[in-house]
Amino acid sequence: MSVILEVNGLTKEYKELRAVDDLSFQLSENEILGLLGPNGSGKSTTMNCILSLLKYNSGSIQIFGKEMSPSAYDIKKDIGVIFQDVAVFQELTVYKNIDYFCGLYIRDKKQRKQYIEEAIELTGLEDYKKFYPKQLSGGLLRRLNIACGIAHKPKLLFFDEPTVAVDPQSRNNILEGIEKLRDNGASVIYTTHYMEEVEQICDRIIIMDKGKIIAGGTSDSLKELTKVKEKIIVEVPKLSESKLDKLKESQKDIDIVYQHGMLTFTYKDGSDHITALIDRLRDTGIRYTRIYSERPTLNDVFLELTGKELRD
Amino acid sequence: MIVCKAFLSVIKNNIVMIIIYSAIFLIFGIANSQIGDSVSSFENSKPPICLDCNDDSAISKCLKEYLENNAEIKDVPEKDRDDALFYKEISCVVMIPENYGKDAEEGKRPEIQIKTAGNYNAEFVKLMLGRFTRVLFAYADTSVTEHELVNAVSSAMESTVNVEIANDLDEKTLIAATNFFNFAAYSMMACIVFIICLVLSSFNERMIRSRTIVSSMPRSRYNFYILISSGIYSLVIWLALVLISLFVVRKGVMSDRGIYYIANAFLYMLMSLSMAFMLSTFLRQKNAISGIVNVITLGCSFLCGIFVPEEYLSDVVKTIAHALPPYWYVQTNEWLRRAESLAPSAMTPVWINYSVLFGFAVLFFAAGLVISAKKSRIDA
Repeated sequence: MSVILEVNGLTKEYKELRAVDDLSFQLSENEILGLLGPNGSGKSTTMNCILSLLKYNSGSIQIFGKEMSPSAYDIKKDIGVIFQDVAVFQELTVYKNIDYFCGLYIRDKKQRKQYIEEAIELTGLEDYKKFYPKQLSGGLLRRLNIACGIAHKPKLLFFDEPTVAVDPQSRNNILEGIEKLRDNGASVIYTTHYMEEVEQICDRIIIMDKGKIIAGGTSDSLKELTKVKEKIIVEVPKLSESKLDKLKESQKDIDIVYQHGMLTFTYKDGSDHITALIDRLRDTGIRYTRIYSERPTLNDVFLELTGKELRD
Repeated sequence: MIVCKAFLSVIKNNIVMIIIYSAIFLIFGIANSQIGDSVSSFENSKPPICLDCNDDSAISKCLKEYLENNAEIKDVPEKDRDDALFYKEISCVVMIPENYGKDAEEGKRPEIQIKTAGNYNAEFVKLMLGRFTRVLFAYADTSVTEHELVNAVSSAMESTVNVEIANDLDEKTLIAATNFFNFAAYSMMACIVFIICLVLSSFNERMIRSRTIVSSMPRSRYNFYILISSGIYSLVIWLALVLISLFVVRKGVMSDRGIYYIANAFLYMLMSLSMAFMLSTFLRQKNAISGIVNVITLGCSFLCGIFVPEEYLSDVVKTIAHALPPYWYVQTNEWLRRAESLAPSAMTPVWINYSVLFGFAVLFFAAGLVISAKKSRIDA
């Protein structure tokens, strides 16, 4: 697969603050790359630098093998952007909004008409063509925002948290649409806070914090990075101190916590510990109502890597 | 042309505002054009005077008759005359001395005494008396009898001169046309600057602008389309103004001066367009636009002699007004009203005013382009 986007040593500073710090990564053809990171980690700044919306201090950005710049219109014609905030004209209908933004790229009316219809179909806006944005719900507005960014059939797409404040049905529609775009040949950079979205659609993930990449890889490879390998949760309504001590004594290498009637066993290596644990619980005489095992999630990885303190 | 299409669609959404400004212009513009001093017909005014005649000669009677025809003679007791003068009940007291007729007949040049309140009417009476005495003394040198002298003076005083105005435009027409075009400066600027700023604020909304910047449409072409669209709108406003002027001040517009009024309005339209383009590069908040544009348009109108006639403005205000484009526009209109001739040699002030107005248009446009170029990134 050929490289669509190549970022090398990108650095962006705002006076004292280094928002992006010597960032390097690549995006391949037909790939969805997830950019994960807490607020202020530099995701949007990185995206804006790539799009030449922001000047950067150092580094290089190559798209389709060419140097990106504000006047690189031959590169820009194949780029589509869906911003976090809805960017549409309140005075134009759904159809006219898509027509306008598509028209900034495509001058041929006939071709544009066909592209607009396809974008409307992909985002499920067929029944709202003549609606004004103020008449649309939050989910429909997000879909219109996406339709405006993809109508000209770009080869490289940037999605900046496109599902913020969207209901589950619309979110699902949007994510399916992004996968369809990838299947049709587009490459995507997708920034979000929602781990499940990244797990669902991204081929590769980059976790950023304080302007730097702190981890990268597939969802599974990232999960390998976490110290937690398996969690087994046992619902025990009543548990005496002596039985808990006896259990901890026999399982010294495992982290055991009893809280709110739930006994949690955290294993730092191996997997499929549940059968052995059931035997141990029977031997110790602990009676339980429910038992289940949990694999580490991307959320665990994210929190472990970026810390649990609150961000702005 | 997609930008022009969207521009016109956004304008359509603001049609109510355009209609409101147009209605204000129509109502006040028409009313304003009807205001003006009527000088196309004349009626002699008769100043109130007190006549103290101490001579009983035929010549004094002739003078008395002349004054009665041209002034309102009031009977005021001698002790009250000063008060009457002070309170402007009478303009002056005319005293014909004893033996005035006899002395005049003998060529002695007797003087008529006059006590005035020092106003315009008193000067008018002095002019009347001056005319009478000049005629009297002229005929006194040639006439043989008192009867002949009185007849000659009477017939001379009764003669009138027929005045014909050579210019086909009376002053009322010129005042109406000037007032109309002066007031149009406010409406045109408000209509153009407010609506264009409002429309462009949608195009310059942060996220829409970001989308435009990342698109493959070159900035120069985008700016060109924006200017073309704004230009078409401004041209429509100007054409509407010309059309309305043909109904409201037809005589003035169809005269030889009309083309200069219209050309002046065209340059003013260009200046307003450039100003709108420049302001739109940094006026982003829709709510703020109305306030700021009103301050600019109303401020200019008050300072530059559109709402308040120039003669009522202080020297400081007039000096400040020199730095504002409407001042030069109004100056041209006022010059056209006052001008005796439109000969090329006399037109220099008009060309200067036109040049200054065009200079402002170029200045605003250049400033707009510079700001626009600097804001081609979102961190600018």
